[in-house]
Amino acid sequence: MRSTRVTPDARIDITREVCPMTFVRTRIALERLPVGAVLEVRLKGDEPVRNVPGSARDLGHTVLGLEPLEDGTWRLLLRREGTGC
Amino acid sequence: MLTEPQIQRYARQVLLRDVGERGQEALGAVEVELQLGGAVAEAAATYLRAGGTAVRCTSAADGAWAPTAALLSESSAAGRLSVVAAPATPERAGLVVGSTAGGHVLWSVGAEGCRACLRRLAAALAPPESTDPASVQLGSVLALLVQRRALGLGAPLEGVEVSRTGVLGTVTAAPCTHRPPLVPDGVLGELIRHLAGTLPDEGCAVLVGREDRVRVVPMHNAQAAHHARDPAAFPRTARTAFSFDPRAWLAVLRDTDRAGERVLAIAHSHPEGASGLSAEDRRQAAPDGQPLWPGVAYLVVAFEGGRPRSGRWAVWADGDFLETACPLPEAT
Repeated sequence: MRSTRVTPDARIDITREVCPMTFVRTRIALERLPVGAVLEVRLKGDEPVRNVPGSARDLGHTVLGLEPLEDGTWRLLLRREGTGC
Repeated sequence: MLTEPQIQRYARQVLLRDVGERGQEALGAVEVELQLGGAVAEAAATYLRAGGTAVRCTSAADGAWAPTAALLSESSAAGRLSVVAAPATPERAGLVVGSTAGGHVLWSVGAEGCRACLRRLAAALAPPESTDPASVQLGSVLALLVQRRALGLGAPLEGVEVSRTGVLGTVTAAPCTHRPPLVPDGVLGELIRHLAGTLPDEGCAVLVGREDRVRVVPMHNAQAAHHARDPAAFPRTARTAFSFDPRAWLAVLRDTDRAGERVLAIAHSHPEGASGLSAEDRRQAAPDGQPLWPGVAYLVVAFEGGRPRSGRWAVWADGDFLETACPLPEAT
């Protein structure tokens, strides 16, 4: 899944966080954005890569892309939706 | 916006689908007054405080289950939830906790919940025993219901039953019969124009219809004729009283019945009077303490200087008229 062309409205880095703070940070960052805005989340490790996109989708937000970067971290793009909690 | 320490402290709660940052802020904004004592209050207070909600216990010092008259200041009323022991009911939004033969029942009511329904439900419950072995469980359920209310998740009136063996179940209130009918602004406007047209006398009308359709039946105020014919029996003139012509009233009843409609409300005006039912209105509507027309609401529109000022509904509920505001449409 690639979508490098999207320009995010906000960025967070959760590479130093562990569960559950990985998604807590992501959720709060999404909630603070207006509907339709795009959030870039930098994450690291299997657990957040597996769980954060799914948890965001469960709350109604849209996963625009997830791609590995050269430094071993991942770049996740999420769009804040109005239905998202 | 939550602070960093708050995010750290309430992280797991923020994760919950219905909470998030805004929900956590709502939990922190509400103030809960527990007019209860004993282990239930202790357990509920522990859970609520851990969840970020301020709790004030106003029960008797001995921990008994007696409700107290202490209330928080009006300024904090918007974010206040009161928890009281049955058969008392909270002033506004809150919970009632009571006992039944089979266990306990907790009724949670929002600001928009029907007070008359709640009073009836609470009257059927006994105050719970402060030494009940189910107290801690009851306190945790109570805290959960308070949190639901704070998060805006509860129905206007919702109940949970906790059986003697600890089984939880929802309980449903009987359909509310205390609500005034829903009247579209256009219909209200038509009613108000009719009432304005009879000034300076009191005007009167009937609202009839079905669930989806309400219409105005303008009525002639026969009080002037009654007074002229028999001033001893009808001392008031049409300036301060209204009455239907019996034949016209019977015709309304017959026509609505034929059309599959029913009489929803009797409306009248107070040309220069207060809004709401007057003492005389109440006597007329409920002679001997019983409603003359069960299930029929009353609407009073108060005028001032020839203009409609305010509207007020009155619905019979448990031995008295329950009054609520009737917002008048702008254009009138």
